[in-house]
Amino acid sequence: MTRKDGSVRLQREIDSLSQNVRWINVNTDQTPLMLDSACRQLLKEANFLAAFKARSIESIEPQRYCEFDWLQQPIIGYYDSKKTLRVFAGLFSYQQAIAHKLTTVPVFIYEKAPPPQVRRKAALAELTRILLDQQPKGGVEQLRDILCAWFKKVKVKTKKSETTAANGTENTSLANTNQTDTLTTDSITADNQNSDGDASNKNASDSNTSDSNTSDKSTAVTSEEDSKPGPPRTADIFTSEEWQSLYPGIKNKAQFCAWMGISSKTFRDKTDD
Amino acid sequence: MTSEVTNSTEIKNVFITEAIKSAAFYSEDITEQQVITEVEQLLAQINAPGGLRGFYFVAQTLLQVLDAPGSTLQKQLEISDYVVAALRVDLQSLLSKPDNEQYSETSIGKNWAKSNPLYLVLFTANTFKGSTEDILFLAAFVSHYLMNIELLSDPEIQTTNHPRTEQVCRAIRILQPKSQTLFNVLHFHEYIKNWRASEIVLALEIFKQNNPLDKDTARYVRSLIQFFSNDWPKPRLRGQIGPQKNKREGSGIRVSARPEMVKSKTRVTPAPVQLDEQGVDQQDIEILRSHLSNQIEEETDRADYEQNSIAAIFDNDLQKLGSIDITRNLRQRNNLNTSNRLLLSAASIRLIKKLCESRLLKVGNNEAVLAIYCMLATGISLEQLTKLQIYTDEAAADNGIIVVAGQCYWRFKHRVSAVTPVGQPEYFYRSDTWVKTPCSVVLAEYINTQGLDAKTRLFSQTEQQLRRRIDKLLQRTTEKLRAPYISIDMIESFVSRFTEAADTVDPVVLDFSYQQELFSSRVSRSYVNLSDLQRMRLLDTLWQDIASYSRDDTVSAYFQPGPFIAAEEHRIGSRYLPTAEFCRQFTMQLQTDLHNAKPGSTLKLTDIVHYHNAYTRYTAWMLGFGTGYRAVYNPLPTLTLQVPDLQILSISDKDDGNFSHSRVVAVPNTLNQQLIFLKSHLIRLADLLTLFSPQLYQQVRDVLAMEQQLECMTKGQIEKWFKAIRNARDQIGPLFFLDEALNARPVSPTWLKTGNGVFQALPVNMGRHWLKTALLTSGVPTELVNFQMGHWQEGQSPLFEYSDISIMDCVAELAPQIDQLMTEQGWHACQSALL
Repeated sequence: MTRKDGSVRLQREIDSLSQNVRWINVNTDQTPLMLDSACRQLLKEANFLAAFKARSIESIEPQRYCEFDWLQQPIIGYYDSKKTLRVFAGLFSYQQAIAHKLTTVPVFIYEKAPPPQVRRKAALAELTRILLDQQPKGGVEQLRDILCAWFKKVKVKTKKSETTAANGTENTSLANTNQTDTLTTDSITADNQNSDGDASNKNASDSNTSDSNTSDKSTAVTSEEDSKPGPPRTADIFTSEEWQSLYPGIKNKAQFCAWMGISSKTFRDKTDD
Repeated sequence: MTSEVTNSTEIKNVFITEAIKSAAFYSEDITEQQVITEVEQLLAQINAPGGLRGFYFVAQTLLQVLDAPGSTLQKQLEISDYVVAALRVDLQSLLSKPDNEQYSETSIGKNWAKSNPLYLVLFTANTFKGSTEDILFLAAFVSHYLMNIELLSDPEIQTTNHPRTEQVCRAIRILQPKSQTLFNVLHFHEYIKNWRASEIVLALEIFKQNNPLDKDTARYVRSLIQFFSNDWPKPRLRGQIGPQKNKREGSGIRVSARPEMVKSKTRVTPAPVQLDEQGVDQQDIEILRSHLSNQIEEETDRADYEQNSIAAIFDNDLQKLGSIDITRNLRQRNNLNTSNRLLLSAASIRLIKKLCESRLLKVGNNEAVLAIYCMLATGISLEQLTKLQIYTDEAAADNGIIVVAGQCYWRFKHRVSAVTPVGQPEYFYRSDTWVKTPCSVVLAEYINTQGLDAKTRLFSQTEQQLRRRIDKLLQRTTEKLRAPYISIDMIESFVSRFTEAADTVDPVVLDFSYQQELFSSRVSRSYVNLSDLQRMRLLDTLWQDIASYSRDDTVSAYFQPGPFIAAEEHRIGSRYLPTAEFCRQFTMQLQTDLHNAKPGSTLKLTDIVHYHNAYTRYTAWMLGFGTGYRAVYNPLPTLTLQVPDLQILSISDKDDGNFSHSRVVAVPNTLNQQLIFLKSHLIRLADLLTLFSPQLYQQVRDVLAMEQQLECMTKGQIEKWFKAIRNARDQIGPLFFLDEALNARPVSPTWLKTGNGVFQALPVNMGRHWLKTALLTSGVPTELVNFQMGHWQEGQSPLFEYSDISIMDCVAELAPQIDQLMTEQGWHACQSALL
């Protein structure tokens, strides 16, 4: 019930994003720009900004012209209590602004900070889109690792973690995992069994894509009880709420692999060595 | 008799009369005066002496030259035909007897070579070779001489000894006589067509190249070449110039490096500027010594009390003079050194060896010879030697010779110069309190045969007695053999001076083995740790060198330490030298840490920070081991100090404001590569952390773009900037670590010391200790080791103005050696895993 209420409220917030927004030129000398905490959280988990194929390790000079970035991929932010501009979207444009040492940057700005779920969703939407479009140089494996780091299985305590995130602290996930850790220490045996079962499921899903739906369901069921931070599992990506809200058309790994045009044999969990 | 008539003008008068007589034949219009002027002019041109002594021969030569085919000499001399006709007349019949003798005199006159050079040539020409070519050559010579007489007498080109005119005339007088077989115009006349000066130069050059000449002849030919090409070099100043010369001659200005210090009551008047007899301005030479001041007369007027007055402090001129003082100190020190560094000659060493051989073991009680032997073999001074005792007890607490089981050792207490580290871990080499060095076979035999008891002194006589005896002995021996005198000082300091001069073995070996104080600072002693075996090997090398110096192979066997028999290995020196095994483990540990810190494919923020810190730690330690960087804050303040292509790095650690201890060191290949990797690592790091901390991004970019920034700065700005960033605690260079809040901090000794895995509390400068010892024991010349370490004393700095050391040569020799030592330890360049 609460989850549904929450999702309704979230949708309302997202709808209202197009209002109350201003387009201004920010002087970076007077108004410092900083990364928003939700964004920071995502990048802390997986930093791929410099990991795309186009890269330079010889020169420190910025490589490309960036004057259209403000329009084509606008920086979006809000003022926090210290009058610092917190950026939660247009991260690549923001990076270019820093690299070019620009003093005036045009940005979309909100007077009132959008809720953290919205900011997280916006950042996640942007980063995932770029990630899937450009693909990191580490290939499919790195792609899987990054997706796993972002789209975690929705925990039972998500509500609480979200409220803490709203306070702007950055250690939410850490606190959250600690909590869950203490709560579920007695389910280690179950976890072991599950991981065994998962491995077999995975094999099955690799060999036979029609089975994958059922196997996904089974893992989803087991992970309801098990939220111990073990090695992230590929299947969890597509069952996570955030993935479902961003890519409702892609329900499982097989669809995802087909859509991306990648081999499902490479896009999979790392086998334990 | 002849001298009385020397200045008689009789010959000239008769000659003039003859000329007037013949002039009447040619034309009626010529006045007597005209003839007289013409003749006077001719005589002046051939610079004839007053009495026209031997004019007969001169006239004959002149006629020969004038009659030579194609000769333009007559025109050049501006003489008319009637004068030539007069020359043809033999005046003998017209002269009185004494004048007649003078006229046909065959010996040359006084001072002709200098004052009448051309006349002398013409006079002696009758002894010259007589072929047509020879006469043409002479004609060309005279013609060229007359044409360029002004140039030849130009004071600018004169040498101190002989005028140029004399020099060239002497050349032709030496080269042309019939008796001269080495030089002959016939050898090269085919190259000459018109007897022009340029042709002759060419021909002479060819002649000189194709014919082997002795030194003198070659010199005269060269003079002629210079003469015909009119190419005179500026004279080189020879012999004593400057202060010494003035002192010897007792004249001229006294020179003092610091005039105000000279308390001369007598006013020394400066000699007026005048040219001496050779046309040289003596004072001119002094200008060459620009660092000396010779304005002594100004200062003598100054009262004593004025010299120390307050006003003197603000007197710019005085201050300037005072600042020159450093030169004098330097000169004094240099002079001191030269007077002190007299090496025994090879023959003297052989002589001492002979002396010892014949006396030491055969004649009883000859302490003088024993002392000579000990002094030469160890370099211990006589004063010290007489204090030494003989022991059998290991527990004794004095320096001396210890006899254990028939083996004799020199035994000295090791002087420790650094504080002993508390709780020294076992992975550093020990340093023993006592140093034992085996006595030479000869000395051991002497002690055993003499049956010297324990607790007795090595010498029964006092130092003064011994000194007198040795002096007498050396004096007697050297006089008998007519050998150069040998002093006690020369013997006792021979080994140390030889070590310093030969530069193959570091003097620290002597310092350790025989407690010799050879260093004004403690650097070498405190950085080196040697095992007994290494020390013996170095001493062996030293004695091999001495043997080859003295050209007697038996010298080394006679003086060098005997075979070393040791139950356990002792070590002496630095207590901060890590063992070889530990170095390998430590390198391995750093590499393992680096490997473990490798970030996962998601590049978590904590992983990146962790990895960067491990990477910095690895590079910083590598820098310490590879270049001998001291333990300072912010080592390697900027990458611009490194020139990767040349494999060099400038270091200014623990330096002063004048950069007097800055040095350029060789960078081994491994480290060179690592620093290049570091650069790309930093670029990537900055990229990855841009959004987290724009300030950090900016900082790293500034570090990397330093070179471009420096190009826009003035020298003063750069100096100020560098002094701020050198060893800075708040500014970062390329080596920095990140804390949790993503603040960059420069690498500090404390940070390096801790967090090295299982190894705790490591001395950060152990790389420096290791490098010095490793280089020394692997046989690298001392000079190169000191180049790398910056261990030079006053006046040895390789970067100083007068130094002629080639940095590139040093690097070419050092870098591969260090590289090999580092590779043996397991160091290798690591590409950053962030890329």
